[in-house]
Amino acid sequence: MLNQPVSQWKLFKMLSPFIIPTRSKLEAETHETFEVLRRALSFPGRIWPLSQGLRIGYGDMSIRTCMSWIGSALLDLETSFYCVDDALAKHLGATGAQHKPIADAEYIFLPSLDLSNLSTLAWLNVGDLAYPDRGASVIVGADFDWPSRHIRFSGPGIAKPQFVMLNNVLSEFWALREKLIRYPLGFDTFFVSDGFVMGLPRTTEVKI
Amino acid sequence: MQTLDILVPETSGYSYAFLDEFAKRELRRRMLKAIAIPGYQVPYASRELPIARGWGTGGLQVTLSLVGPSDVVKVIDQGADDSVNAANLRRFIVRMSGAQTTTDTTLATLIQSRHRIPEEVLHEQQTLILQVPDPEPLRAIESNISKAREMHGDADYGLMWLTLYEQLVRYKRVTLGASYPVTVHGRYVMSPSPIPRWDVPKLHQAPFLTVLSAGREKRLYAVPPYTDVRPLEFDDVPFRVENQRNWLCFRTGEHNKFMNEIPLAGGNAIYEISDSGYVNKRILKQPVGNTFFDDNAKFYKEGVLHD
Repeated sequence: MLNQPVSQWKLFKMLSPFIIPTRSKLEAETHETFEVLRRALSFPGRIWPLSQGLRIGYGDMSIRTCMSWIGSALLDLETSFYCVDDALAKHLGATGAQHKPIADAEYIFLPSLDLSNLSTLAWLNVGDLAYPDRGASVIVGADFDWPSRHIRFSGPGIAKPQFVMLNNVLSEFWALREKLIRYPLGFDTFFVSDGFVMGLPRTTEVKI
Repeated sequence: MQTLDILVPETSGYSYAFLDEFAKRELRRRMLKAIAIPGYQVPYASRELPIARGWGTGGLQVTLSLVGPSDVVKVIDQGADDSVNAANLRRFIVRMSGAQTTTDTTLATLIQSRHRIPEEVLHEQQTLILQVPDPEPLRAIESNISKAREMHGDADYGLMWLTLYEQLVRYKRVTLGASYPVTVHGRYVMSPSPIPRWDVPKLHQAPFLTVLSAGREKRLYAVPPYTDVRPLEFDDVPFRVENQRNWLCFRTGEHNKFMNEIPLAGGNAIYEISDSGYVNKRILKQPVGNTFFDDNAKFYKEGVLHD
């Protein structure tokens, strides 16, 4: 009996309780990024570090690098994006996602928010009443600063109305957001700064 | 230019947490949309799993897309950690992810549950994943899924209210038990999965994220933290939980927790707390966390949802 060769299947069955699953680097990074995005959208207004765990000590924390991490976590062949930055668009395209006009794009990447970008943002997809989830997700470069008493968030995910560190975002953005969002229609936003993310779902009420 | 060399990911012998990268990424995208639109049913491509549909595949897919090696997973079935379904799901999740498991609600980071919310209060760092057999609260009044989706889109819930009213006229009370419909963030009517009415108020302004997923129906939805979740009720006929007043758990001697009724041969019954993890901690005299209902049942005022 002992001299008989052990088949691969038997060997697997014998060893499987001792096999610890391991993640590929890509899986670990995309999971970590997704977890940050999930928390950011669950708790709007709070700032979450993208550079925890695997990426501690990662040198380049520029907005474009952070956006490319978000793209890797969310984009693939089934999705579409819009991006004005050529280098970033090339990286996002490598996920297999299609570069489309802003009106058709599911994910919109804007490393910087200026008036010319804002005018194009007015054309984004806000979904329809049957499928409001088709509303776009906008990933915007931002600059977090100290909270002042200018911008106040309230709504789901926020226990008590809170002031947030987004004083440098153009006031026209807030006006456009208010104009476009007719809940449940609308778009969801992630503000990205150097290594940090803040979520702003369409349910959040912003008072300025 | 996109080439296969670029698009094909690096080869690994197997997929971590069973689902392949595309499946997990799709689930994660849908989950973010579900969080952004509380109570709205987001369609997704429910994948095949080595368990049959209807046995928790929706919840399992969400858990597998969320779990990491540092997570602590608790799986319960009707409140019990030791039922066959819960034990099998837990074993599968651990084998596929290397995560730790626990029966202690307070230690878990991911709690997958069928038909119960644990008695102990969950906190912000925890995520509750509920298995859902039928995600559509309008199913009884509109069997056509497309029409039901239109009704959700128009917030046309008149027939839902009429059903409750008819029950009141006919039986003098709302006869709905589990899956009691709720309004989320003042917009969407949602089925909270077949949790008892006792558990429904636990979702209102809860500090934790709840993700509900139906694998067979290929839809998932979510209740973000600190979100209004209000059961449908009339001004003069308030929502009520199951009347378990004066029921005592024969194992712990406690009351004001949700009980299982165990019939006895003589026609009588004894009762035990449904949440087995909580019961075990009480029996072993281990410290327990705060419970949604304290010993004076303060969560409710005479069985009525009280802010």
